[in-house]
Amino acid sequence: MKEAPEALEQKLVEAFRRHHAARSARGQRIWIGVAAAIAIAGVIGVMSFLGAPPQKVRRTAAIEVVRPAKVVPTTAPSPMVPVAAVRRVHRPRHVVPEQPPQQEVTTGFLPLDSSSAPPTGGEVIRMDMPRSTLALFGLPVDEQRLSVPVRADVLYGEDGMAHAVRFVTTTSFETQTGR
Amino acid sequence: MQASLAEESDGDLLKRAACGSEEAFVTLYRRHQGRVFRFALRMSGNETTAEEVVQEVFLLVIRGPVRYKTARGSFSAWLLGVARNHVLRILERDPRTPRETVARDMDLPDLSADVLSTLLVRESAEALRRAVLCLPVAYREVLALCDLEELDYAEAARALGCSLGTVRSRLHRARNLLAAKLTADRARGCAV
Repeated sequence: MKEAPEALEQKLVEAFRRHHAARSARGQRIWIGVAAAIAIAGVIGVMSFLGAPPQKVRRTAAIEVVRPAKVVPTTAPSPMVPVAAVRRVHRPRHVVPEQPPQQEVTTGFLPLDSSSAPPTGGEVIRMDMPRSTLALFGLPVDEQRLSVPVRADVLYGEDGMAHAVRFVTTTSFETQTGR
Repeated sequence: MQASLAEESDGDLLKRAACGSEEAFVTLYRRHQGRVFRFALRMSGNETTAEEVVQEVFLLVIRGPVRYKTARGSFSAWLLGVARNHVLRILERDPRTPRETVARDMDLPDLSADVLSTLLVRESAEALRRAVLCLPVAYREVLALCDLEELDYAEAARALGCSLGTVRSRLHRARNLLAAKLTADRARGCAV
């Protein structure tokens, strides 16, 4: 009776060995993975059981000192000293696209009353005023922008009275540097 | 160890082999390779093809013995079914394979199995091999399984994936065809 050649048996036995060697290696890798997963789960479980109460993340309002932009006096410096404003500012939730740097150009502080003594303390409050106010101080007024208010810093003394004012205009840094 | 393995059933050996027992696999191989080889050889008429079929069949056993279900019949029938699929695939690629089928109304003498046996005894093995190879595949395979490998009809039906009735009718027709072929060959030989 005819049968398959003996060499074929040897070939198949080798294939059998290769297959089972690969299988056992694959099985080992799976078991290592399973053991690692169990270990990690165990560590997490123990930590959550024994560990401290979960830390709460406190959100504190950021207090930011807003420094006034660089002031370039256009007139002679006034004996009155501007007071830097300290404000509580909320951080914006969204990212505001970066704007080109701007520079404020101010006049010197112009006195509002006749008292010669400068105020010892006080507060500077920024406000918008009618552009025609500039004329009261002898400053030129652009007729075409008459409807546009002008920005001003008013210096209030500790007595609550306005003692001086300076006018503010903003120019972009690029414009100034000629870029 | 070898003696005890030889007594074990195919199912048990298969389980052992699946767990990596080389001895179990070798026992299974030695138990069944001859039948698979002869079946493939009768179907293809080519030893290299038969060897290739045996290799493919047992590689399947190595890679996925779980594909065999005990409830679906004997392991031997399952192996022969797998072997048959491989042989048919190889024969399809081979342009020399006769593809014609025998017309149902072809005039053939209705011979009983006994008459065929008498004819087979008289014929040389080589003449018989040639005659079997001349049969259409559907008749060749049923004849190879039932008459030459002595599978029972139910097992042959499982191996071939057809009904018991189909096996019976095909076998009947295959015998008639074979007897006619052998008679014709002998007459031609006498005339010469």
